[in-house]
Amino acid sequence: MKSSVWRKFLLFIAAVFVFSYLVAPFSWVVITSIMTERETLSVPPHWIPHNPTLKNYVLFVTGGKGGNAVADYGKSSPQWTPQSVTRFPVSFRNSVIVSISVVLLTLSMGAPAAYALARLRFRGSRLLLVAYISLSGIWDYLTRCQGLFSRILLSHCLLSSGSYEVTS
Amino acid sequence: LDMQTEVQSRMKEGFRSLRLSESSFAFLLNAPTVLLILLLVAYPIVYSIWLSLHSYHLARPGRFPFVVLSNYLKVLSSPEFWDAAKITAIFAFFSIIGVVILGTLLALILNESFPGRGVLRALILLPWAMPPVVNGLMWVWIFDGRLGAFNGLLYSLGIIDSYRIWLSNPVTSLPIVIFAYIWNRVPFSAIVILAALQAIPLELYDAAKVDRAGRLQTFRHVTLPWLWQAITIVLILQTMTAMRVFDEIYMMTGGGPGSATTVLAWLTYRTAFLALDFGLGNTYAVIISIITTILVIVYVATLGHRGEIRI
Repeated sequence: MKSSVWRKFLLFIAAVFVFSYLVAPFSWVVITSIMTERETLSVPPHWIPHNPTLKNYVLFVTGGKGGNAVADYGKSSPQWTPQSVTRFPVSFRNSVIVSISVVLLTLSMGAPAAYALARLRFRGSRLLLVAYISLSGIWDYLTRCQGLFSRILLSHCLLSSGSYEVTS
Repeated sequence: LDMQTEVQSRMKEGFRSLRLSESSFAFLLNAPTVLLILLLVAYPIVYSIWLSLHSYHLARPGRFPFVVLSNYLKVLSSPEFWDAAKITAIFAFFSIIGVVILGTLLALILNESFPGRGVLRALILLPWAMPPVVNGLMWVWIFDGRLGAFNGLLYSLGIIDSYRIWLSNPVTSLPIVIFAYIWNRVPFSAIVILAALQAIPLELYDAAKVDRAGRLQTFRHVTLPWLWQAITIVLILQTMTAMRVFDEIYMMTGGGPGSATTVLAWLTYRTAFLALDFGLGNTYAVIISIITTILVIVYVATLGHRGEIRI
Protein backbone atom coordinates (compact mmCIF):
# COMPACT_ATOMS: atom_id res chain seq x y z
CA MET A 1 0.00 0.00 0.00
CA LYS A 2 2.71 2.39 1.04
CA SER A 3 4.82 1.68 -2.02
CA SER A 4 1.93 2.44 -4.35
CA VAL A 5 1.49 5.90 -2.79
CA TRP A 6 5.22 6.50 -3.28
CA ARG A 7 4.95 5.27 -6.83
CA LYS A 8 2.14 7.69 -7.60
CA PHE A 9 4.05 10.54 -6.03
CA LEU A 10 7.23 9.79 -7.98
CA LEU A 11 5.26 9.45 -11.21
CA PHE A 12 3.64 12.81 -10.55
CA ILE A 13 7.03 14.45 -10.01
CA ALA A 14 8.36 12.82 -13.18
CA ALA A 15 5.34 13.97 -15.17
CA VAL A 16 5.81 17.54 -13.95
CA PHE A 17 9.46 17.40 -14.98
CA VAL A 18 8.62 16.03 -18.41
CA PHE A 19 5.93 18.66 -18.85
CA SER A 20 8.22 21.56 -18.03
CA TYR A 21 11.05 20.13 -20.13
CA LEU A 22 8.79 19.95 -23.16
CA VAL A 23 6.81 23.13 -22.69
CA ALA A 24 9.05 25.69 -20.94
CA PRO A 25 11.38 26.57 -23.86
CA PHE A 26 8.54 26.88 -26.32
CA SER A 27 6.36 28.85 -23.94
CA TRP A 28 9.07 31.50 -23.66
CA VAL A 29 8.89 31.95 -27.43
CA VAL A 30 5.10 32.21 -27.25
CA ILE A 31 5.30 34.73 -24.41
CA THR A 32 7.83 36.80 -26.33
CA SER A 33 5.59 36.78 -29.37
CA ILE A 34 2.82 38.65 -27.55
CA MET A 35 5.15 41.29 -26.13
CA THR A 36 5.72 44.71 -27.61
CA GLU A 37 9.14 45.13 -29.15
CA ARG A 38 10.07 47.44 -26.29
CA GLU A 39 9.15 44.89 -23.67
CA THR A 40 11.20 42.10 -25.25
CA LEU A 41 14.26 44.23 -24.51
CA SER A 42 13.57 44.51 -20.78
CA VAL A 43 16.20 43.30 -18.33
CA PRO A 44 15.40 41.26 -16.30
CA PRO A 45 12.83 39.65 -18.63
CA HIS A 46 9.12 39.97 -17.87
CA TRP A 47 7.82 36.44 -17.42
CA ILE A 48 4.29 37.71 -17.87
CA PRO A 49 3.86 40.50 -20.44
CA HIS A 50 2.69 43.73 -18.82
CA ASN A 51 0.69 44.79 -21.87
CA PRO A 52 0.20 41.75 -24.10
CA THR A 53 -0.52 42.43 -27.74
CA LEU A 54 -1.32 40.52 -30.92
CA LYS A 55 0.27 43.24 -33.03
CA ASN A 56 3.19 41.00 -34.01
CA TYR A 57 0.85 38.42 -35.46
CA VAL A 58 -1.09 41.00 -37.42
CA LEU A 59 2.15 42.45 -38.72
CA PHE A 60 3.39 39.01 -39.65
CA VAL A 61 0.30 37.96 -41.55
CA THR A 62 -0.36 41.24 -43.33
CA GLY A 63 3.32 41.78 -44.03
CA GLY A 64 3.35 45.33 -42.71
CA LYS A 65 1.16 48.34 -43.25
CA GLY A 66 -1.94 47.29 -45.07
CA GLY A 67 -0.19 44.40 -46.73
CA ASN A 68 1.75 46.71 -49.01
CA ALA A 69 5.14 45.28 -48.15
CA VAL A 70 4.67 42.51 -50.66
CA ALA A 71 3.88 44.94 -53.41
CA ASP A 72 6.62 47.29 -52.25
CA TYR A 73 9.26 44.65 -52.06
CA GLY A 74 12.10 45.33 -54.44
CA LYS A 75 11.00 48.88 -55.20
CA SER A 76 13.57 51.62 -55.02
CA SER A 77 12.00 53.53 -52.15
CA PRO A 78 10.14 50.94 -50.09
CA GLN A 79 8.04 52.07 -47.15
CA TRP A 80 8.91 49.34 -44.73
CA THR A 81 11.02 48.65 -41.71
CA PRO A 82 12.85 45.32 -41.44
CA GLN A 83 10.24 43.97 -39.04
CA SER A 84 7.32 44.77 -41.26
CA VAL A 85 8.53 42.76 -44.23
CA THR A 86 7.64 39.16 -43.63
CA ARG A 87 6.22 38.65 -47.10
CA PHE A 88 3.88 36.20 -45.44
CA PRO A 89 1.44 35.81 -48.37
CA VAL A 90 4.25 35.01 -50.77
CA SER A 91 6.10 32.67 -48.40
CA PHE A 92 2.89 30.94 -47.45
CA ARG A 93 1.94 30.44 -51.08
CA ASN A 94 5.41 29.03 -51.79
CA SER A 95 5.14 26.62 -48.85
CA VAL A 96 1.75 25.43 -50.05
CA ILE A 97 3.03 24.88 -53.58
CA VAL A 98 6.10 23.01 -52.35
CA SER A 99 4.23 20.78 -49.92
CA ILE A 100 1.40 19.89 -52.30
CA SER A 101 3.75 19.02 -55.14
CA VAL A 102 6.06 17.05 -52.85
CA VAL A 103 3.17 15.02 -51.48
CA LEU A 104 1.73 14.35 -54.95
CA LEU A 105 5.06 13.45 -56.52
CA THR A 106 6.37 11.28 -53.70
CA LEU A 107 3.09 9.40 -53.34
CA SER A 108 2.59 8.86 -57.06
CA MET A 109 6.15 7.63 -57.50
CA GLY A 110 6.76 6.07 -54.09
CA ALA A 111 3.54 4.09 -53.76
CA PRO A 112 3.98 1.98 -56.94
CA ALA A 113 7.61 1.34 -56.02
CA ALA A 114 6.61 0.36 -52.50
CA TYR A 115 3.87 -1.91 -53.83
CA ALA A 116 6.35 -3.70 -56.08
CA LEU A 117 8.85 -4.12 -53.25
CA ALA A 118 6.26 -5.36 -50.80
CA ARG A 119 4.07 -7.64 -52.92
CA LEU A 120 5.90 -8.76 -56.04
CA ARG A 121 8.76 -11.20 -56.31
CA PHE A 122 11.51 -10.14 -58.62
CA ARG A 123 15.26 -10.41 -58.87
CA GLY A 124 17.14 -7.54 -57.33
CA SER A 125 14.32 -6.38 -55.10
CA ARG A 126 16.48 -6.55 -52.02
CA LEU A 127 19.29 -4.71 -53.76
CA LEU A 128 16.87 -2.02 -54.81
CA LEU A 129 15.59 -1.60 -51.26
CA VAL A 130 19.11 -1.39 -49.84
CA ALA A 131 19.96 1.17 -52.52
CA TYR A 132 16.91 3.26 -51.63
CA ILE A 133 17.65 3.14 -47.94
CA SER A 134 21.37 3.79 -48.08
CA LEU A 135 21.09 6.49 -50.72
CA SER A 136 18.39 8.24 -48.76
CA GLY A 137 19.89 7.75 -45.33
CA ILE A 138 23.57 8.27 -45.74
CA TRP A 139 24.74 9.49 -49.09
CA ASP A 140 22.05 12.08 -49.44
CA TYR A 141 24.33 14.20 -47.35
CA LEU A 142 25.91 15.04 -50.65
CA THR A 143 22.60 16.09 -52.13
CA ARG A 144 20.37 17.07 -49.25
CA CYS A 145 17.23 15.67 -50.72
CA GLN A 146 15.77 13.29 -48.21
CA GLY A 147 12.05 13.94 -48.45
CA LEU A 148 11.11 11.62 -51.27
CA PHE A 149 13.06 8.65 -50.12
CA SER A 150 12.08 8.63 -46.51
CA ARG A 151 8.51 8.63 -47.74
CA ILE A 152 9.15 5.66 -50.00
CA LEU A 153 10.60 3.88 -47.01
CA LEU A 154 7.58 4.79 -44.92
CA SER A 155 5.08 3.64 -47.50
CA HIS A 156 7.07 0.46 -47.91
CA CYS A 157 6.81 -0.15 -44.17
CA LEU A 158 3.07 0.54 -44.26
CA LEU A 159 2.51 -1.73 -47.23
CA SER A 160 4.60 -4.58 -45.90
CA SER A 161 2.89 -4.45 -42.50
CA GLY A 162 -0.36 -4.61 -44.45
CA SER A 163 0.84 -7.68 -46.28
CA TYR A 164 1.61 -9.38 -42.98
CA GLU A 165 -1.99 -8.92 -42.07
CA VAL A 166 -3.07 -10.49 -45.32
CA THR A 167 -0.83 -13.49 -45.03
CA SER A 168 -1.38 -14.21 -41.35
CA LEU B 1 -9.22 -8.75 -46.11
CA ASP B 2 -11.01 -10.57 -48.94
CA MET B 3 -11.19 -7.26 -50.78
CA GLN B 4 -7.46 -6.86 -50.55
CA THR B 5 -6.65 -10.31 -51.89
CA GLU B 6 -9.19 -9.85 -54.62
CA VAL B 7 -7.70 -6.53 -55.65
CA GLN B 8 -4.29 -8.14 -55.57
CA SER B 9 -5.29 -11.07 -57.76
CA ARG B 10 -7.05 -8.73 -60.15
CA MET B 11 -3.98 -6.57 -60.45
CA LYS B 12 -1.88 -9.65 -61.12
CA GLU B 13 -4.33 -10.70 -63.80
CA GLY B 14 -4.21 -7.18 -65.14
CA PHE B 15 -0.54 -7.23 -65.87
CA ARG B 16 -0.71 -10.79 -67.11
CA SER B 17 -3.16 -9.63 -69.74
CA LEU B 18 -0.66 -6.91 -70.60
CA ARG B 19 1.72 -9.82 -71.27
CA LEU B 20 4.17 -8.63 -68.65
CA SER B 21 5.99 -10.98 -66.35
CA GLU B 22 5.80 -10.24 -62.65
CA SER B 23 9.36 -9.00 -62.52
CA SER B 24 9.09 -6.67 -65.46
CA PHE B 25 5.92 -5.27 -63.94
CA ALA B 26 7.86 -4.69 -60.74
CA PHE B 27 10.60 -2.91 -62.61
CA LEU B 28 8.04 -0.82 -64.41
CA LEU B 29 6.59 0.26 -61.08
CA ASN B 30 10.04 1.13 -59.78
CA ALA B 31 11.17 2.90 -62.92
CA PRO B 32 10.00 6.45 -62.05
CA THR B 33 11.62 6.29 -58.63
CA VAL B 34 14.84 4.83 -59.97
CA LEU B 35 14.95 7.45 -62.68
CA LEU B 36 14.41 10.22 -60.18
CA ILE B 37 17.05 8.80 -57.84
CA LEU B 38 19.54 8.57 -60.66
CA LEU B 39 18.81 12.16 -61.55
CA LEU B 40 18.54 13.74 -58.11
CA VAL B 41 20.75 11.54 -55.93
CA ALA B 42 23.14 9.38 -57.88
CA TYR B 43 24.22 12.13 -60.25
CA PRO B 44 25.03 14.66 -57.48
CA ILE B 45 26.86 11.97 -55.52
CA VAL B 46 29.03 11.03 -58.47
CA TYR B 47 29.51 14.69 -59.33
CA SER B 48 30.51 15.44 -55.74
CA ILE B 49 33.07 12.62 -55.71
CA TRP B 50 34.30 13.82 -59.10
CA LEU B 51 34.76 17.36 -57.76
CA SER B 52 36.61 16.04 -54.72
CA LEU B 53 39.23 14.60 -57.06
CA HIS B 54 39.85 18.01 -58.59
CA SER B 55 41.26 21.28 -57.47
CA TYR B 56 38.26 23.54 -57.94
CA HIS B 57 38.24 26.99 -56.43
CA LEU B 58 35.57 29.49 -57.42
CA ALA B 59 37.97 32.35 -56.94
CA ARG B 60 40.14 30.87 -59.68
CA PRO B 61 37.66 30.26 -62.49
CA GLY B 62 38.71 28.31 -65.54
CA ARG B 63 41.17 26.11 -63.68
CA PHE B 64 40.01 22.60 -62.97
CA PRO B 65 43.04 20.29 -62.74
CA PHE B 66 42.59 16.64 -61.87
CA VAL B 67 44.58 16.11 -58.67
CA VAL B 68 43.66 12.48 -57.84
CA LEU B 69 43.72 12.14 -54.04
CA SER B 70 45.67 15.22 -53.09
CA ASN B 71 42.55 16.89 -51.63
CA TYR B 72 42.11 13.90 -49.37
CA LEU B 73 45.76 13.98 -48.31
CA LYS B 74 45.46 17.70 -47.63
CA VAL B 75 42.35 17.16 -45.49
CA LEU B 76 43.75 14.21 -43.57
CA SER B 77 46.94 16.06 -42.76
CA SER B 78 45.28 19.30 -41.64
CA PRO B 79 44.79 19.92 -37.91
CA GLU B 80 41.55 21.74 -38.78
CA PHE B 81 39.99 18.49 -39.96
CA TRP B 82 41.05 16.51 -36.90
CA ASP B 83 39.79 19.27 -34.58
CA ALA B 84 36.43 19.21 -36.34
CA ALA B 85 36.39 15.41 -36.31
CA LYS B 86 37.03 15.43 -32.56
CA ILE B 87 34.25 17.94 -31.92
CA THR B 88 31.89 15.98 -34.19
CA ALA B 89 32.69 12.83 -32.24
CA ILE B 90 32.04 14.58 -28.92
CA PHE B 91 28.83 16.09 -30.25
CA ALA B 92 27.62 12.81 -31.73
CA PHE B 93 28.53 10.78 -28.63
CA PHE B 94 26.75 12.98 -26.11
CA SER B 95 23.77 13.79 -28.27
CA ILE B 96 23.20 10.13 -29.15
CA ILE B 97 23.55 9.07 -25.51
CA GLY B 98 21.24 11.89 -24.49
CA VAL B 99 18.60 11.15 -27.10
CA VAL B 100 18.58 7.40 -26.43
CA ILE B 101 18.59 7.56 -22.63
CA LEU B 102 16.21 10.50 -22.35
CA GLY B 103 13.98 8.98 -25.01
CA THR B 104 13.84 5.68 -23.13
CA LEU B 105 13.09 7.47 -19.85
CA LEU B 106 10.33 9.55 -21.45
CA ALA B 107 8.87 6.45 -23.07
CA LEU B 108 8.92 4.55 -19.76
CA ILE B 109 7.17 7.42 -17.99
CA LEU B 110 4.58 7.84 -20.74
CA ASN B 111 3.93 4.09 -20.66
CA GLU B 112 2.76 4.27 -17.03
CA SER B 113 -0.77 5.32 -16.29
CA PHE B 114 -1.32 8.60 -14.49
CA PRO B 115 -3.77 11.48 -14.86
CA GLY B 116 -2.70 13.73 -17.71
CA ARG B 117 -0.85 11.05 -19.63
CA GLY B 118 -2.78 11.77 -22.81
CA VAL B 119 -1.83 15.44 -22.61
CA LEU B 120 1.84 14.61 -22.16
CA ARG B 121 1.76 12.13 -25.03
CA ALA B 122 0.41 14.88 -27.25
CA LEU B 123 2.86 17.47 -25.94
CA ILE B 124 5.84 15.27 -26.72
CA LEU B 125 5.21 16.09 -30.36
CA LEU B 126 5.85 19.77 -29.67
CA PRO B 127 9.67 19.80 -30.00
CA TRP B 128 9.40 17.46 -32.95
CA ALA B 129 7.09 19.84 -34.78
CA MET B 130 9.82 22.44 -34.76
CA PRO B 131 12.20 22.54 -37.73
CA PRO B 132 15.85 22.35 -36.59
CA VAL B 133 16.53 25.89 -37.83
CA VAL B 134 13.66 27.30 -35.75
CA ASN B 135 14.85 25.18 -32.84
CA GLY B 136 18.26 26.83 -33.10
CA LEU B 137 16.68 30.27 -33.27
CA MET B 138 14.59 29.55 -30.18
CA TRP B 139 17.59 28.47 -28.10
CA VAL B 140 19.65 31.45 -29.25
CA TRP B 141 16.89 33.67 -27.89
CA ILE B 142 16.76 31.74 -24.61
CA PHE B 143 20.54 31.70 -24.07
CA ASP B 144 21.10 35.26 -25.27
CA GLY B 145 23.78 36.98 -23.23
CA ARG B 146 21.92 40.25 -22.74
CA LEU B 147 18.20 39.50 -22.94
CA GLY B 148 18.03 35.74 -22.56
CA ALA B 149 15.51 34.00 -20.36
CA PHE B 150 18.14 31.58 -19.07
CA ASN B 151 20.26 34.41 -17.72
CA GLY B 152 17.17 36.08 -16.28
CA LEU B 153 16.07 32.88 -14.57
CA LEU B 154 19.46 32.07 -13.02
CA TYR B 155 19.93 35.68 -11.96
CA SER B 156 16.56 36.00 -10.26
CA LEU B 157 17.15 32.68 -8.51
CA GLY B 158 20.50 34.03 -7.28
CA ILE B 159 22.54 31.27 -8.94
CA ILE B 160 24.67 33.72 -10.93
CA ASP B 161 25.47 37.25 -9.84
CA SER B 162 25.94 38.68 -13.31
CA TYR B 163 24.75 37.82 -16.82
CA ARG B 164 26.90 35.33 -18.73
CA ILE B 165 27.46 35.08 -22.47
CA TRP B 166 26.75 31.36 -22.70
CA LEU B 167 27.14 30.84 -26.43
CA SER B 168 30.35 32.84 -26.75
CA ASN B 169 32.07 30.87 -24.05
CA PRO B 170 34.16 27.98 -25.40
CA VAL B 171 33.36 25.88 -22.32
CA THR B 172 29.58 26.23 -22.38
CA SER B 173 28.79 26.66 -26.08
CA LEU B 174 29.14 23.01 -27.15
CA PRO B 175 27.11 21.56 -24.23
CA ILE B 176 24.35 24.10 -24.88
CA VAL B 177 24.19 23.25 -28.58
CA ILE B 178 24.06 19.55 -27.67
CA PHE B 179 21.27 20.28 -25.19
CA ALA B 180 19.29 22.18 -27.82
CA TYR B 181 19.84 19.40 -30.33
CA ILE B 182 18.66 16.73 -27.89
CA TRP B 183 15.52 18.71 -27.03
CA ASN B 184 14.51 18.75 -30.67
CA ARG B 185 15.34 15.12 -31.51
CA VAL B 186 14.27 13.31 -28.35
CA PRO B 187 10.53 13.04 -29.17
CA PHE B 188 11.23 10.83 -32.16
CA SER B 189 13.17 8.28 -30.13
CA ALA B 190 10.63 8.46 -27.31
CA ILE B 191 7.79 7.68 -29.72
CA VAL B 192 9.64 4.78 -31.36
CA ILE B 193 10.56 3.29 -27.98
CA LEU B 194 7.07 3.89 -26.58
CA ALA B 195 5.63 1.94 -29.50
CA ALA B 196 8.03 -0.91 -28.75
CA LEU B 197 7.06 -0.82 -25.05
CA GLN B 198 3.40 -1.16 -25.90
CA ALA B 199 4.14 -4.24 -27.99
CA ILE B 200 5.49 -6.18 -25.00
CA PRO B 201 3.00 -8.93 -24.05
CA LEU B 202 1.67 -8.35 -20.54
CA GLU B 203 1.88 -12.09 -19.75
CA LEU B 204 5.65 -11.73 -19.60
CA TYR B 205 5.30 -9.34 -16.66
CA ASP B 206 2.91 -11.74 -14.95
CA ALA B 207 5.45 -14.53 -15.48
CA ALA B 208 8.18 -12.33 -14.02
CA LYS B 209 5.96 -11.67 -11.00
CA VAL B 210 5.40 -15.40 -10.53
CA ASP B 211 9.14 -15.90 -10.67
CA ARG B 212 9.49 -13.20 -8.00
CA ALA B 213 11.69 -11.05 -10.16
CA GLY B 214 12.45 -7.63 -8.70
CA ARG B 215 11.61 -4.46 -10.55
CA LEU B 216 15.16 -4.05 -11.87
CA GLN B 217 15.40 -7.69 -12.88
CA THR B 218 12.10 -7.44 -14.72
CA PHE B 219 13.36 -4.38 -16.55
CA ARG B 220 16.64 -6.06 -17.51
CA HIS B 221 15.28 -9.43 -18.55
CA VAL B 222 11.83 -8.60 -19.89
CA THR B 223 11.61 -4.96 -20.94
CA LEU B 224 15.08 -4.29 -22.27
CA PRO B 225 15.33 -7.28 -24.66
CA TRP B 226 12.05 -6.20 -26.23
CA LEU B 227 13.35 -2.67 -26.64
CA TRP B 228 16.59 -3.58 -28.39
CA GLN B 229 15.22 -3.39 -31.88
CA ALA B 230 13.70 0.04 -31.35
CA ILE B 231 16.83 1.30 -29.62
CA THR B 232 19.01 0.02 -32.46
CA ILE B 233 16.88 1.84 -35.01
CA VAL B 234 17.07 5.03 -32.96
CA LEU B 235 20.84 4.59 -32.59
CA ILE B 236 21.39 4.21 -36.33
CA LEU B 237 19.15 7.13 -37.32
CA GLN B 238 20.59 9.33 -34.57
CA THR B 239 24.15 8.55 -35.57
CA MET B 240 23.39 9.48 -39.14
CA THR B 241 21.81 12.80 -38.21
CA ALA B 242 24.16 13.72 -35.37
CA MET B 243 27.24 13.18 -37.53
CA ARG B 244 25.86 15.73 -39.96
CA VAL B 245 24.42 18.32 -37.59
CA PHE B 246 24.31 21.72 -39.21
CA ASP B 247 21.19 23.75 -38.46
CA GLU B 248 21.73 24.27 -34.75
CA ILE B 249 25.41 25.09 -35.25
CA TYR B 250 24.52 27.54 -38.01
CA MET B 251 21.88 29.32 -35.93
CA MET B 252 23.47 29.23 -32.49
CA THR B 253 27.23 29.58 -32.74
CA GLY B 254 28.40 29.64 -36.35
CA GLY B 255 31.08 27.16 -35.35
CA GLY B 256 32.45 29.45 -32.69
CA PRO B 257 33.72 30.79 -30.46
CA GLY B 258 37.00 30.11 -32.22
CA SER B 259 36.47 26.58 -33.40
CA ALA B 260 34.77 25.31 -30.23
CA THR B 261 31.66 24.11 -32.08
CA THR B 262 33.10 23.61 -35.57
CA VAL B 263 31.77 20.20 -36.55
CA LEU B 264 32.58 18.53 -39.86
CA ALA B 265 29.36 19.68 -41.52
CA TRP B 266 30.07 23.27 -40.56
CA LEU B 267 33.64 22.94 -41.84
CA THR B 268 32.25 21.61 -45.11
CA TYR B 269 29.91 24.57 -45.41
CA ARG B 270 32.64 27.05 -44.57
CA THR B 271 35.13 25.53 -46.99
CA ALA B 272 32.70 25.24 -49.88
CA PHE B 273 30.45 28.25 -49.51
CA LEU B 274 32.47 30.81 -47.59
CA ALA B 275 36.01 30.01 -48.75
CA LEU B 276 34.60 28.92 -52.14
CA ASP B 277 36.95 25.92 -52.32
CA PHE B 278 34.54 23.43 -53.86
CA GLY B 279 37.12 20.71 -54.40
CA LEU B 280 38.08 20.62 -50.74
CA GLY B 281 34.50 21.14 -49.55
CA ASN B 282 33.32 18.13 -51.51
CA THR B 283 36.20 16.14 -50.08
CA TYR B 284 34.89 16.87 -46.59
CA ALA B 285 31.38 15.88 -47.64
CA VAL B 286 32.57 12.57 -49.10
CA ILE B 287 34.61 11.84 -45.98
CA ILE B 288 31.61 12.43 -43.68
CA SER B 289 29.51 10.11 -45.83
CA ILE B 290 32.18 7.40 -45.71
CA ILE B 291 32.51 7.68 -41.93
CA THR B 292 28.72 7.50 -41.49
CA THR B 293 28.50 4.48 -43.80
CA ILE B 294 31.18 2.66 -41.83
CA LEU B 295 29.48 3.47 -38.52
CA VAL B 296 26.12 2.19 -39.76
CA ILE B 297 27.70 -1.02 -41.06
CA VAL B 298 29.40 -1.50 -37.69
CA TYR B 299 26.08 -0.97 -35.90
CA VAL B 300 24.21 -3.42 -38.08
CA ALA B 301 27.02 -5.97 -37.75
CA THR B 302 27.30 -5.73 -33.96
CA LEU B 303 23.79 -4.84 -32.81
CA GLY B 304 21.89 -6.17 -35.79
CA HIS B 305 21.48 -9.72 -34.56
CA ARG B 306 20.51 -8.45 -31.15
CA GLY B 307 17.82 -6.16 -32.48
CA GLU B 308 17.08 -8.48 -35.39
CA ILE B 309 17.40 -5.79 -37.99
CA ARG B 310 16.72 -7.31 -41.34
CA ILE B 311 16.92 -5.35 -44.52
